[in-house]
Amino acid sequence: MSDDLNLKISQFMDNELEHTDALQLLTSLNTQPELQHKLNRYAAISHALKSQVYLEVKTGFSENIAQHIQQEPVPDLEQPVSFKQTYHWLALAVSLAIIAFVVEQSFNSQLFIPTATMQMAQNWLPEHSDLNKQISLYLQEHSSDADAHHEADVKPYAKVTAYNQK
Amino acid sequence: MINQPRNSEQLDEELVSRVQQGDKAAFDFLVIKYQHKIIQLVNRYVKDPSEAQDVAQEAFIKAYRALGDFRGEAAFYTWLYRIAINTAKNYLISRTRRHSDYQLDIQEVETMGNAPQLQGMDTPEQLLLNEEIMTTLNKAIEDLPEEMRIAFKLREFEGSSYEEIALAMGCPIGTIRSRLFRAREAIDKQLTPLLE
Repeated sequence: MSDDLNLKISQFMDNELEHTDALQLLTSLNTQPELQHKLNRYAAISHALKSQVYLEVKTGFSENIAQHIQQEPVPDLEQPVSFKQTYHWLALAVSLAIIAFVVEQSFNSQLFIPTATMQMAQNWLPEHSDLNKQISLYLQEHSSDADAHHEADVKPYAKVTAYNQK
Repeated sequence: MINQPRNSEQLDEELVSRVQQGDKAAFDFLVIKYQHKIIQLVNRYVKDPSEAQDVAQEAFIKAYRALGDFRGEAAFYTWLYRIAINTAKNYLISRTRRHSDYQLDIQEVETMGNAPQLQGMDTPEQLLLNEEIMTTLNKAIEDLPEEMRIAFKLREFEGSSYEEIALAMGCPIGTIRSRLFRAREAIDKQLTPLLE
């Protein structure tokens, strides 16, 4: 075992080894048990000075874990969702909801309430004109709402189709 | 306690990223790097060196399984430290349930990490050996040449960086690096007969 490697172990223990050197040393430590033994001894000395207990890592500690890890699946990395991404999706969802609400409201008020349209027409046109009467009659006959209530004065569809001929 | 120099954190970030991409060998590096700290931390709770190694092993395996969720918001060692403490506490609770006629509550477990560690040396032989090692260790430090001893003490007891020691002792960083290495080698040589 070279002094150069032991010097690097000493530096590594003190977190004073450069990144690339540390990676190289870890590779050597992983393949050479005697180097790991040296690191364990240095670490045990350092710890004993602080705790008054000499505790050395058992030989084969890291190898046991490595063997265990080999049987484990690779950790499932959950994709981090950033706040920005979440915000975009939320904004899109809110926009769609608003659009859907507005469209529904306009359909309800303009297309699916014929009685309302009929009343509007009656209010706006002059009350006694012939045209007013004709339109009012036409609208009453075409009102599905009125049909549904079987009102007495509602004309059947055949009569309405004959209206133009008159 | 969890202060890690930037160098060390960058290395951890790279290794964690490699593990998350499927490189299992990178996790071996993380184990080698932190095995001593984690075993010693766990031993503060478990107070049995042999059990501490088993619990530490379990903590590392738990950490590996959870690495997919690790986002790097805290330093890797801080995250690993929490896993190790929780594993040690869970172990203590389950051990107490198995072997004791009294229930250990969570507050007792919390305070165990602060208790003196010598309680873990539960046989007279272990106690005697530890005492002998500590006497030899202290003597080995006192036997070091003065410049080596000062550098070693500044590093081990004050936690000074190489740069700080170099400034304090008025010599290049390379000299400090060499002095610290030689000090460790000298101490290790004196301990070897006791440990083998």
